[in-house]
Amino acid sequence: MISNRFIASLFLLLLIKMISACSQEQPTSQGFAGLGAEAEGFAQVMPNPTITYPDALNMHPDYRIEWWYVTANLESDSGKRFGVQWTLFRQANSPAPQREGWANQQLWLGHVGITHADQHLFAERYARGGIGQAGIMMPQFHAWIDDWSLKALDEEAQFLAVSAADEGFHYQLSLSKTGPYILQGDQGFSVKSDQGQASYYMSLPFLDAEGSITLGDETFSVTGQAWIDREWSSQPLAEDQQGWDWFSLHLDNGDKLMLFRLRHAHENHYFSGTYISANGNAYPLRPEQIQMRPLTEHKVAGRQVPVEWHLTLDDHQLDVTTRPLNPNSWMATGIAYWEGPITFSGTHSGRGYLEMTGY
Amino acid sequence: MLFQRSSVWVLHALLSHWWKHPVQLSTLMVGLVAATALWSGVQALNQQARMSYDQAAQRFNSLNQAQLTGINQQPIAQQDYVQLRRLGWPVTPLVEGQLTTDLSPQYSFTLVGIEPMTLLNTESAQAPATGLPTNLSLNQFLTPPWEVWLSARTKEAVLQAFEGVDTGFPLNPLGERPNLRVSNALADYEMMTDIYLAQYWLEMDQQHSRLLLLQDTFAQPLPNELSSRLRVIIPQSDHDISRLTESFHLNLTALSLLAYLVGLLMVYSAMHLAMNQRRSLYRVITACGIDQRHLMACVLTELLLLSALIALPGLLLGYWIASWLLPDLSTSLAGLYGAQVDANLSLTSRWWFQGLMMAWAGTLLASLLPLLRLLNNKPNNRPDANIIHFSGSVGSRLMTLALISATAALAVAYTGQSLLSGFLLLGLIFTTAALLLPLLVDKVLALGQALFSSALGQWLWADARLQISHLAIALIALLLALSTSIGVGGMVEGFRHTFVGWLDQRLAAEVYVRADSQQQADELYAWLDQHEQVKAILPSARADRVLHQTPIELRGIQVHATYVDHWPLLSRMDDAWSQIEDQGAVMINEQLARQLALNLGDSIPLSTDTSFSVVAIYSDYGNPKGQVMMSIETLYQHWPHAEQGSFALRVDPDQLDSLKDQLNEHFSLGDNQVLDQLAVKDFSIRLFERTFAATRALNLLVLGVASIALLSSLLTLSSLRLTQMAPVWASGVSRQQLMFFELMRLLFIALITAMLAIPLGLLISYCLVTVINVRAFGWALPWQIFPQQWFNLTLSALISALLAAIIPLLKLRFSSPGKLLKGFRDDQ
Repeated sequence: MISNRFIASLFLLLLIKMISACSQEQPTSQGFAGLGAEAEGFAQVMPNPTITYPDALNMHPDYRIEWWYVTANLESDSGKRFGVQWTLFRQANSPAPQREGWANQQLWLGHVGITHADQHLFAERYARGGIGQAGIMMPQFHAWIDDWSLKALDEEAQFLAVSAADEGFHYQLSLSKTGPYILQGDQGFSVKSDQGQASYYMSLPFLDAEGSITLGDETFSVTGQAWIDREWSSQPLAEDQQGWDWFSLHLDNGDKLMLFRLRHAHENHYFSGTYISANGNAYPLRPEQIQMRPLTEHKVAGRQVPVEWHLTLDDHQLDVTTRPLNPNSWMATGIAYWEGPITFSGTHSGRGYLEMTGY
Repeated sequence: MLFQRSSVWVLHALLSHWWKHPVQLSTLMVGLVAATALWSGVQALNQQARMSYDQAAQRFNSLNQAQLTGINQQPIAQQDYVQLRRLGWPVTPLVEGQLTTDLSPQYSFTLVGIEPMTLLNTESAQAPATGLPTNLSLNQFLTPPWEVWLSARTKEAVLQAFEGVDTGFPLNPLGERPNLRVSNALADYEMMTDIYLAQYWLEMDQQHSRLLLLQDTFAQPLPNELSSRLRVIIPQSDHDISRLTESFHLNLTALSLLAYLVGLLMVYSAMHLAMNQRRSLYRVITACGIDQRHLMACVLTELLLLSALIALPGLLLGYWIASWLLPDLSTSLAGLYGAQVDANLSLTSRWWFQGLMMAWAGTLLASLLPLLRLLNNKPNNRPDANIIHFSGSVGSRLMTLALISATAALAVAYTGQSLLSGFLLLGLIFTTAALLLPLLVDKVLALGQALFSSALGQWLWADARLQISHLAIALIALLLALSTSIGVGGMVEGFRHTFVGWLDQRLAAEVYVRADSQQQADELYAWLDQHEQVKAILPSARADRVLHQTPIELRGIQVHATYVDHWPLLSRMDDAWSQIEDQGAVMINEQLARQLALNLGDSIPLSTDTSFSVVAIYSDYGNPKGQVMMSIETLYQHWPHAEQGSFALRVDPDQLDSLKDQLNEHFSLGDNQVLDQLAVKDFSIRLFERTFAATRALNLLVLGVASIALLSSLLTLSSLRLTQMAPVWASGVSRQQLMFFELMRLLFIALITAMLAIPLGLLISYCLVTVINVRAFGWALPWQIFPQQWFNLTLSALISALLAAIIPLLKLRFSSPGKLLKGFRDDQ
């Protein structure tokens, strides 16, 4: 999930909405959710990083924002299909040094979603750092906000557990890592615009998932595949970038694919992605290798959102059309966006997740 | 086109009537000003109070807010808050307290620290509004130097407080001045800031005052380890503050409605007369080619214009009345219900608009009958055409209406349960009385007439009967005002007697001492035990419970003669005290008994495993909460964590002062830790007085308005009277004799009205204590009667009549024989 997931933006959005939305003098041109805002005083993202796992799961408080993003494509015993999302965002409202207790400048935001063909449920949580209501623990990784949790079951984080609950639903899944972690972009340095904005970006695309989902009175045992994204930065978007369309795909042949398009205000969108073979080799994609074309638009929450896409990677002989499990997968959270499970067919078939922000 | 150029002339002609009849104009003005002022004044009070309640609710002080508090008012540890959040509880912390500045003048601030991330970002409909602006910058709120939200006046006080302070409030922990941001939504001396700064200033590191539960459908039980420290309070709508205070406001509204009606009676009598006297004018106008519809439109325009002009001073007077009563009102609401009302009156445009609408509605209502008559255009040439003979068909019609009204009152009395039906009952009683009054006065006068056979005597009584039709409206106003005075006065006076007696019983011990900690309590006990002048030391303890989702208070006392002999019990079992002492029985206050419909012998399930038998019910005036009393041993046995309460000390009154001095010397106790009986009584009685100050003031105003109504009726009448008296004068009765007869007749009629007002007032007072009070406050009062009050009111009715008669009498005294002759001639 990505990267760019707009989450970050969410977070920022959050900030923007809550914090600055209010003060009208705030500049308006900060990209989606304020992710294009200046990052003075925060650590900067530089090329050639050294990113290892599971250290990458730790928090990076010197950077302004980061997120832990889990998506899973699941199926119950009876064949009912589900998508599950679990996300934790962190945002610092001022750079180091870190202040203690309630004065701590770290703000946390959690989002969860459950989607099936007929229903899309979501919830959000807010918390401040410094008191233990939300945060990250290491060396045995644990991320939480309130009662929502993503934690490693061993120090190497080969096995993880994720859970969340809100009015009317809850879920818990255990995740087993079946392949290597993947550094996106150049060794984890993921460029987001021609002006050089970038983030550090690592993914765990090889995760088997199993667990249970409860909706109302009904509980489903589910299995499937999951994907975790870790990303941190201080200014991941260019100022004129309005949103993004991001895909994580589990191909039926075992390969994985991550693609995104960052939309600029005036065309010349920025494309990026990584093709990952089933044995764990990552092939970064150059912008010119990627073709992403929106097909059908669907009206949701009063906006037109392209829920079907045509994706083409000539160099990898991939030409697929994606369709949503539920076109109404709208996260009407503080910062609203579309995020839901998809299926695709064409030269390849499989399942995945799509996130679209800024619509 | 309905409104034409000629309309201006028609309006001019219509309005000129009022300049020619200043008495009618003044009657109209006084009536309408009084109606508008009293109604809108009370509405201003109600509106101000409701605005304050809303603010309080926004500031999370509403009893209607689901919340978690520490057992025994202990602060809640930050860890417990985090633990609850991590268990999924939708709670947000608050830090609250008082801050004072050291400088002179000294200011005291109420500080509320909030956590905006959890408070402002909840989807739940239960999320309370904070009173913070929608354009709050979260970034600035949470980042040094932080922000403090306050009113403009508070800002000035804080700016002063900055001077000469090096550390601590109002500087932030970094020694900087926080940004002061003004919000009109905050009351004076109230401040809102981030929880971090609030903890620092109030020295509540890692502690919270309480946690708001943002979703009151959240039904999980508290985990065991937390349930020993925290309790959950889920509100029951019956007990929210606005409902409690609503009764209080309903009382005021009812009284103001009565004043409004009395004012309208005056408007009616002025309108009635004016419409009649203008009939010839209407004929002239229609003769000039103005059709009926056009004329009607002009009359309506005239009424609306006139009443709008008069309503303005009425509203200003209403504003003044409200500002005059507001301090008493806010004190009594704070004392009775803990509701905070801002003592600065601020009014909305809606209030002005509503006031104007009420003035218009009142004028139209009062003019309805005269206007209808005008439409029917009944010929009415005789000056006495509007004299009603109550012995005829009008009388039987009134009697029928009165019977219907009385039957309805009986039906409401038997079936009604709500406070509103209580007021409906009062309204019906008043209506019945108003309908019957002219008939009864007429009957009494007819009786008088039968007793006199002389021509002059016959004329005197017959003439008095004729006057009733002119004075009926004013007399009804007087009757309503007098009986309300007797009713309300009796209720208040009865309450005062009961209350003072109750205080004497309840505060039987001479001194009450409260310890700050268990250790201090132990030391105090040991110290007091050694003092001979202390005849008894009676410890107490308290705990809080939620029963049927209602917070109630448990009190443990040491059973002792002080209580057994004095405690004010409404009903009890014979061996109540011994059952309380030995068998773990309890007594409950009247409020709780009514709320839960409990009687002697019932049991009350205060804990999951034990029920307690109710052996007595006691009166507990002024307490909005349910309360259960038991022996202190029983309390500690079931609630080992109960909080140590105050010690009641029996001391020889002569040695009271020396004991207090010694106590202060040894323990340096604060002012609020040692209370003597007299101080508590004094405070309670002052609170009581202020509670009814507004009621009494309104009552007096209504009486004043009724006197003015009588005066204006007599003034109007005096011009008619001249023609009626002229023949009598011509027959040889001197003016002095005539004046004497006039005065006696009027005083007699006022006396009859006052005599009728007494039984009516008693009935009203009975309804107030046994119906209205029970439904409004939850307690009943004994019905007491105060003949002294009746005497005073009768006297005031006679004085009103006397004063009202002076001008007409002087008019008669100084009428020249020529004028009287002219009157005699006109009458022919």
